[in-house]
Amino acid sequence: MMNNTATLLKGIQCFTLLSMVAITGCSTRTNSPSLSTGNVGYGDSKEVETLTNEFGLTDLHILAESMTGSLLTSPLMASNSKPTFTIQEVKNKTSEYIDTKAITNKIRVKLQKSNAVRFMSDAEDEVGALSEIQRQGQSPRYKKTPKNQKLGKAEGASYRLFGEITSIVKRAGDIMNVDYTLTLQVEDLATSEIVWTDEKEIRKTSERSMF
Amino acid sequence: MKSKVFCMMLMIGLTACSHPVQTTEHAVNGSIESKLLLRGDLSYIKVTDLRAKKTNDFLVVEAEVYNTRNYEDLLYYRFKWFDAKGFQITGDEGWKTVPLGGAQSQNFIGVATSVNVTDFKLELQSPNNTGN
Repeated sequence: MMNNTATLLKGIQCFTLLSMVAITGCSTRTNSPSLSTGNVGYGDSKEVETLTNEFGLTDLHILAESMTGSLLTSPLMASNSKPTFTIQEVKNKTSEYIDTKAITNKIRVKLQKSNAVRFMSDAEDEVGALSEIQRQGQSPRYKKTPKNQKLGKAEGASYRLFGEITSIVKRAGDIMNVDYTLTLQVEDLATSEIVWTDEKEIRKTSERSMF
Repeated sequence: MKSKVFCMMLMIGLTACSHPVQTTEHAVNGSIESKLLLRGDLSYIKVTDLRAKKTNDFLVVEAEVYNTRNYEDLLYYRFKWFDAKGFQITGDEGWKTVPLGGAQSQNFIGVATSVNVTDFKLELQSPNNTGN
């Protein structure tokens, strides 16, 4: 009888110990530096994305890389050492909503990182810059030295980079075709001559699912 | 002196390889195969030529690919750019696609957006690869 009780107690102790180990084991996190439910993940933003036929990040990459490469290898760049540009937001002439600021920014970043051009403030930046200079000029916090006399020292741009994106949409039965064209131009602000222009086309075709 | 070293490197590169990358003015050398980063085996699409030159100090590469089958195929590609010390610069490009008709050749161009780029690799993948 005593033996049975001792065996039972040992069994309960073992079970409790194992349970604790199991519980502790379950609550221990792995070495992975992530906390996730498994429903959300990070992907490669550089991969070709064709979830829908609407304008996407892949199109943005294609257009920006093509246009930047074309401008950097153009005769305009051969005849100028680090020319100064101002960039205007690409106009959206398509029938869908496209945040063209993203196209403009992508092109500006790629050109600026090439270290072959210099960008001056665009109209939008100008408002922010003037507001900041005014704030500093009116605040008693800042020293009034000749170095702080900021107005009248900005350099103007020699060239204006601007353009537009257009699209042609065609449907035939379940098939839909969208052709995007991005056209960019560079104007010499002194002479108003268009000194560079290029375009890039992208065709996207989709078929409506039966289900 | 610089141009002599440059020419020597070019000569060594062109002599050593059976299918050299055609270059004009810079130190890119090696066979076409040595410039490819393949994801899987490109069974049906062949890179038939790679040409490189410098324009306004920027490295420009033109690739020529050929679809060996009589069916439409698709090729994904992107260039990786390296400086003289072998470091990848300008970041990863986005992948791009080249649709290829049956038995069709297509050319595409990559432009390095930094004057410090001296070498490149061409990364390729096709949905119809073997070993995907």
